[in-house]
Amino acid sequence: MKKSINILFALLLVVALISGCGTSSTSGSGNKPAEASANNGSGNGNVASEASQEPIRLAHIGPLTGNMADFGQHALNGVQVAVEEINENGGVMGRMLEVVSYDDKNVGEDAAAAAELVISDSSICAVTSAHYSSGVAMVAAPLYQEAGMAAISPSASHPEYSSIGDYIFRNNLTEQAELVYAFQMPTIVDCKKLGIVSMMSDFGESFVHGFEELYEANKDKLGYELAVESFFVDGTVDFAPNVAEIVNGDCDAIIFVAEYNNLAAFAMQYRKVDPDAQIIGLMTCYNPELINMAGEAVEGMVLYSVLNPNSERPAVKNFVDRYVAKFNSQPDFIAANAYDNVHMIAASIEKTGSTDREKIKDALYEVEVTCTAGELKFDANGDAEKTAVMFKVENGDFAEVPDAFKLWDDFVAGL
Amino acid sequence: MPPRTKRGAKLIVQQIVNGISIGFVYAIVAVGYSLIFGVLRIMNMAYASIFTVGAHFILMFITAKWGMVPAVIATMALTGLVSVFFDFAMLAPLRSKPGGTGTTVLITAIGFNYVLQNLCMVIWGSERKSFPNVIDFGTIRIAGFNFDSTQFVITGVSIILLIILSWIIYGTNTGLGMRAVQQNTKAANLMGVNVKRTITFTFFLSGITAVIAAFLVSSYYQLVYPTMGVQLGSKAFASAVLGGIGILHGSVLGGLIVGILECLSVYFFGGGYREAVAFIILLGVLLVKPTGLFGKKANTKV
Repeated sequence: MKKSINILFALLLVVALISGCGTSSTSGSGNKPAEASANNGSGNGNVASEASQEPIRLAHIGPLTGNMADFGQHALNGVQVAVEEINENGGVMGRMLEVVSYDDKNVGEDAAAAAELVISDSSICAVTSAHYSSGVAMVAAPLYQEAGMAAISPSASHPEYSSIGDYIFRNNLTEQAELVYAFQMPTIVDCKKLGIVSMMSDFGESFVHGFEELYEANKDKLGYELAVESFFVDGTVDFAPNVAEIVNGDCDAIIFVAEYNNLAAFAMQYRKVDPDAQIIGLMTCYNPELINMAGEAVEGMVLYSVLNPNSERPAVKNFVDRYVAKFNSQPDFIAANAYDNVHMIAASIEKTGSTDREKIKDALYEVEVTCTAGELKFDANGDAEKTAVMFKVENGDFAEVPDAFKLWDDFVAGL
Repeated sequence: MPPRTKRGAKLIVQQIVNGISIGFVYAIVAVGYSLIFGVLRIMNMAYASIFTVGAHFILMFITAKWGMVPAVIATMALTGLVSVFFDFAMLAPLRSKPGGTGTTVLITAIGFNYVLQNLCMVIWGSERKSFPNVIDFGTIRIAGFNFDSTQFVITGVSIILLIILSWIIYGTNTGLGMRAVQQNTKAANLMGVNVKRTITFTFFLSGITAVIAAFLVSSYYQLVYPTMGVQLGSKAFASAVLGGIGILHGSVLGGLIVGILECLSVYFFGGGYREAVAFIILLGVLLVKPTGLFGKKANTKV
């Protein structure tokens, strides 16, 4: 009797294990009110033979819950704007575009599970928005590479991301590109003693290391000293020890290497102790929620982003107008990047005349599309050239600071 | 190797000061764990999410334009009910079954904890939400160190809460009943203690304590989000165990020790390893003196 119960339990566990492997990310329904053209959780290859009427399906995988939910949601928004726009203009090769969305919670295991689901769905021809943070994206990337499915990240910046394989694309500033901008900021704001407050993540550690290298190479010409580096883990709400380190080092400006939600908590605590400090943020700090959460504490902070919502360029205006009309809020960099991704894939399908995954990948290296990033083209490594604009938070809004950045060589020469 | 920073005695002292503030935050949550354990001998692993639910309720009432005081009082009633419901629906049936104690209760509590946390996510959204700080009277600099007035309020309330709870447990008949139930439920029943009502009262009290803690923590960090109880709950639990779980003043001391050691670890090892400190302490306590600093070995009478 005892033995058979044990066997029964063992069988139950095995069944649970197997069934548990695939269920963590079936949240196509987890999104906010879905648009008909953009959301479909079911679907499987056994559809009838009217291939010419079948919608072309793309996948979006990103955090829709959890700490980084805003980024995943904004990326999905950008994708939906692009899909609507393309479908209004007749679709791709006469077929409508459709997006399937999965939640990876910005966690590696969930990302891998979602990737497997998408890869095994033969009706999905590419991943138009792959994950949020570099660390998580790099967990899933080898899966896409091995399965031969193009995946474009709208937000990864780790230097080694696109080198994972030829199916892996990145439509975002690389870490080197980010450093070019981030490194100019302390000089632009006339800093004398700089502190770095960074999350202890793949991106954070890599970025700080890169910053240190640039600093060491140029420190005799710079007008400031890098006095303090303070780390924290994601999910920290109590920054008192970090603030203490910064204040103890007499820093007058700090670079915050993490997202807006961590910055909100940090800025409130920091500004209580040092109201005059200059906060410098990276692109992931650009989010109106930051100002909702932190209010006065982030007034006067500077940051940069690849999307300038007030740009006069027609491609940008078109995107921003559509986004605001559909979502009643301003888009950010990840929405713009994801929007561009859809256009790149659409152009690749048009060029190659097929939805074959490998052909799409090949075509992605050849197409050049006019979109929010300008003339967007992927280089041989799968990266794209992007330019960023500096912003300052003034009166509770992100105001552009025009012509703030120089080309790297000019900047170094001018030190 | 710790990242570059300016070292010195001044920073060490500031970190200790920070540690004391964080310590009282842990203490005020740890008290909730101790309360239930002290009466019922169970680890209320659902306390973290009851705390989280409390914070969300307060925010909900405040957003509906109630004043802070009515919001907190209403939340105390509601959260007390949630806590009582947890006992009534899940723990009480287990108590009446043979073999329904110990591990079963623990796992039920952990399960309820997750369910409640995810309910918060579903109902109110998973992003961080802003919470107003009405107990903010500015930053105070004493002898060159920074103190937040909110920290003083938290310290004050922790101590007052401790005194009130101790008075309830040691100075009232209900408290006498609680102590009797803890020592021997059957005997307490025979002596005329209404065991069911005592247990319900304990859970209601723990819910109220959770709301007080939730109000203070939400005001201090000015943020509310569904996973706020996770980190805090684990560290507060470690604090309670360190001080001797079941002993209220032990929780406060445990919280202080965990807080101070955590902030000092940032000084010596950098901020990346901070989270590990509470659990290293927990492991140490369980290995060396499992009953905690103030704990006495429990005598189980046959």
